[in-house]
Amino acid sequence: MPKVALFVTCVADQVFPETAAATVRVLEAAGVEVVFPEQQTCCGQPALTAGEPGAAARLARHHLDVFDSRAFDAVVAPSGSCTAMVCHHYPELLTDGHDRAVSVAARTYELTQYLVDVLGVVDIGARLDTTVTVHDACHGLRNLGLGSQARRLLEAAGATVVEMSEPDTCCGFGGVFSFGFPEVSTRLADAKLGHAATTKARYLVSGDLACLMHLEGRRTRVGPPTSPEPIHIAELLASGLPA
Amino acid sequence: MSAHDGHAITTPGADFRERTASAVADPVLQQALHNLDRRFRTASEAAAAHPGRKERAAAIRRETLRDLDGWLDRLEAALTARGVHVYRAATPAEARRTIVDLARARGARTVVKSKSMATEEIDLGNALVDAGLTSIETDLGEYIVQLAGERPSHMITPAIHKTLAQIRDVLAAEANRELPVDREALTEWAHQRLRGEFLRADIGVTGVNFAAADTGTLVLVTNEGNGRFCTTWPRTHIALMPVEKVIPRLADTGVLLPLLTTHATGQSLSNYVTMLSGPRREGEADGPDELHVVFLDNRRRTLLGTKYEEMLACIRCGACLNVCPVYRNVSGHAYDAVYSGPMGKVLTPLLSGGAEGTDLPYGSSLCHACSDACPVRIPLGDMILSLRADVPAPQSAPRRRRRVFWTVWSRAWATPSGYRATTAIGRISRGKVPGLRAWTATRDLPRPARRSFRDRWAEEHR
Amino acid sequence: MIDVLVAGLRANSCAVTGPVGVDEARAAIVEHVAPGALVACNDDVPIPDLTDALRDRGAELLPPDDPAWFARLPDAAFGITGSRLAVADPAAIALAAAPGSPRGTSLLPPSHLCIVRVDDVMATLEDAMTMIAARELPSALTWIGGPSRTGDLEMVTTLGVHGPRAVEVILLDGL
Repeated sequence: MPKVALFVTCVADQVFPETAAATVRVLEAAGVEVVFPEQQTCCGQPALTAGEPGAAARLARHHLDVFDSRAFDAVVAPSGSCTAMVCHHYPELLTDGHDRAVSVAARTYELTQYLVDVLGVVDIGARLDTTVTVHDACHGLRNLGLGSQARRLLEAAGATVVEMSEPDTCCGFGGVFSFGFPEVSTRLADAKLGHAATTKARYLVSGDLACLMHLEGRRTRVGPPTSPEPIHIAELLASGLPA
Repeated sequence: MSAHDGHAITTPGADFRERTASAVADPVLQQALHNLDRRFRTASEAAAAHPGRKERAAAIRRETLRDLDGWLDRLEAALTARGVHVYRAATPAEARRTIVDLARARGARTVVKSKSMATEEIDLGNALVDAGLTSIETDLGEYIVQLAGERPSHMITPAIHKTLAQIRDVLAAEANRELPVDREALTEWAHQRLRGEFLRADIGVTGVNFAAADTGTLVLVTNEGNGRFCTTWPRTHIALMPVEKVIPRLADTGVLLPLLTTHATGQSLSNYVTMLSGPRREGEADGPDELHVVFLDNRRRTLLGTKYEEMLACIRCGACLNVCPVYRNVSGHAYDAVYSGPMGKVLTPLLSGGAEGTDLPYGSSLCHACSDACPVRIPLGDMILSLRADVPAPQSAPRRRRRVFWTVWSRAWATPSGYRATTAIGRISRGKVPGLRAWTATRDLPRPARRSFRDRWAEEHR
Repeated sequence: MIDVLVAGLRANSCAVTGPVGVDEARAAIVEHVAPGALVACNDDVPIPDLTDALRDRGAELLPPDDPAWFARLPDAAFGITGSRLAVADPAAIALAAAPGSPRGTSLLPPSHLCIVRVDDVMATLEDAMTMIAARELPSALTWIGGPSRTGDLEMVTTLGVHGPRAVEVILLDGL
């Protein structure tokens, strides 16, 4: 039985623990044993995007201390952007410790990537009788090549996937950008929510909690309540698993 | 921490933010920007097509950058052998002086200009006017913004920010009569007016899209025919060439030209491509008597050997502007720089030596649509992120404040106990942290969960 | 390949005739030109007796070696040129400047008639540029796709900005 370490991400840990719990359920339903290294904190992405690579590197070294271990086969995160931080940025960020970064990066995956590309599993036994539309979060799409994996998982569970216009256009979160440039950030959220609403889907599914937090935050502010509900793919799949 | 919506820890200055906020709130601009959706689609389609061609183009551009000085020397030799006069300008001031002196020495009165971002970069228009010359932009979009007293807002479509009605107003004011809001009529008026300027101009000034080092050939890409006019009718042609425009071989244009045009406008080739190898020859009825080329450096060669070197591979197609979620919603003027969009976010702080545009790299959601769209594979998203660490200068006050904040944060979060302590504070304060007004003005913010995942896990697995 | 060229030129708003033989080509050109019009005709047009036929039609000719060529070209209604070569994809025609074939003939008059020999058509721009670069280059080699155009007015294409508004291409049969 494969054994993975959950890289929970600070956002899931502190704000959306139900997403992390759902991630564990989904992995277990796929036949994976999940362990949780309790020493983990944060991958350091906020510091890097703020322009402070030194601070980010400090967290990166700690992250590698936690996850550079043979106690598990892989590291899985319910987030394309945090996975991309490790896979795309860590090797450059750590000039000493480069090899360790490359080695951990090679074993770190986003959830849908792990299920479909590594395990070869598309049907985890979830059953969903609903319509969904998918937002392709930027880092997952452009740094990790994600896209088809989420759709295949959803379709295998019986969900109807309706594509929105511009599914791969940024939702407007962008980390510090959402605070530094709130007007453009909000405009992009409105555009994304508008495209999703046109599909009349029940759910707006994504693999990144930051995007979802931003879109849901805007949706609850301006509505309408009938518009597609932003939800993490782990939570949606877990809701379709037998109790 | 600053009361200014968290800028102390996020962005060094508020100017770019304010301009983007105005742009987003401008209904006429937003209406005009919808027209750019078509270019978004063509740029996206071009990005997905011809991957092999992009690899070859990227290789040609990097081959050039590996020995830029060598290729420039070869280009100069080939041009000189064709009777072209070559000048090297290290700074915008030198370039302006060279061109103005050439114009004065020939007793010129009128200059017609074909679209050239490089001439914007050195602010040539004003220099010519100050020297007592008349300088007319002949690309229709450039002509419109020139009359309006504005900068171009897009490198390929300079007046993209204007609706047809606004364009009519600008042209009618110049015509000093009524003009209808009709493309054919406005184009016909501009055609007649600018035809007169072409025919009496003493000097034609253009940029250069590519310059082939093996044959000493200048390549100009246009749709309207103004580039052809500027290089055919006036007695003198002056071309301003940023140093990175050199390519090793004329044959390379077979790969580079279609890539440029498909990514710029979706055309498999621009309507006109002019390949100039020297001035008019004996017995030819038209063409300039003299051809002068000014190589412009303006700090470009300082990028060589740095992580930003690949920015010089840019072929100025504008695809990154067309796919950028920020650019598409604010247009070029919000950047307050000659070069806008993702490539402008990178070039502006670099070419100005950190004097300008230092807040531009922060106005990006780092989505990397630009990196994907770039036909010569410049890692624009990575460069934009990198610049946040490099500009403004590390010793400046905003940077020091920022560094202190993130150092403290990272020291706390590099240990589980520090992380627990600070997140406990967050929970107790119910998420009310100063600087969050930027978010909460338009969006709801979730509260931290009562019990973190790690606490749940610890309890469940005791 | 010729079909690809024709389709491409038409997509660029060119009118295309042929491939036809020399006599049909001459007739098509003469038919196109209005009586009394000033016609600038380059020397590289590969159609014998064309200028005579145009005079018979009542056109006034402006040859490139006319001392008044430069002054009068802005008044010409038609410009007739040959071409060095053409490419099918992307569809484009290359004109070479030389004594007797000035650049302005395909630029100033509102109507440009261009003769392209079928034997001079190549498949791709890469093929063409490789060949061109290996030989002696003219002072100006100008690639033309069709009528002058702009997208600067709210991104809708409008024709006839600074160059010709009408381009007619006549393809000449192979020998």
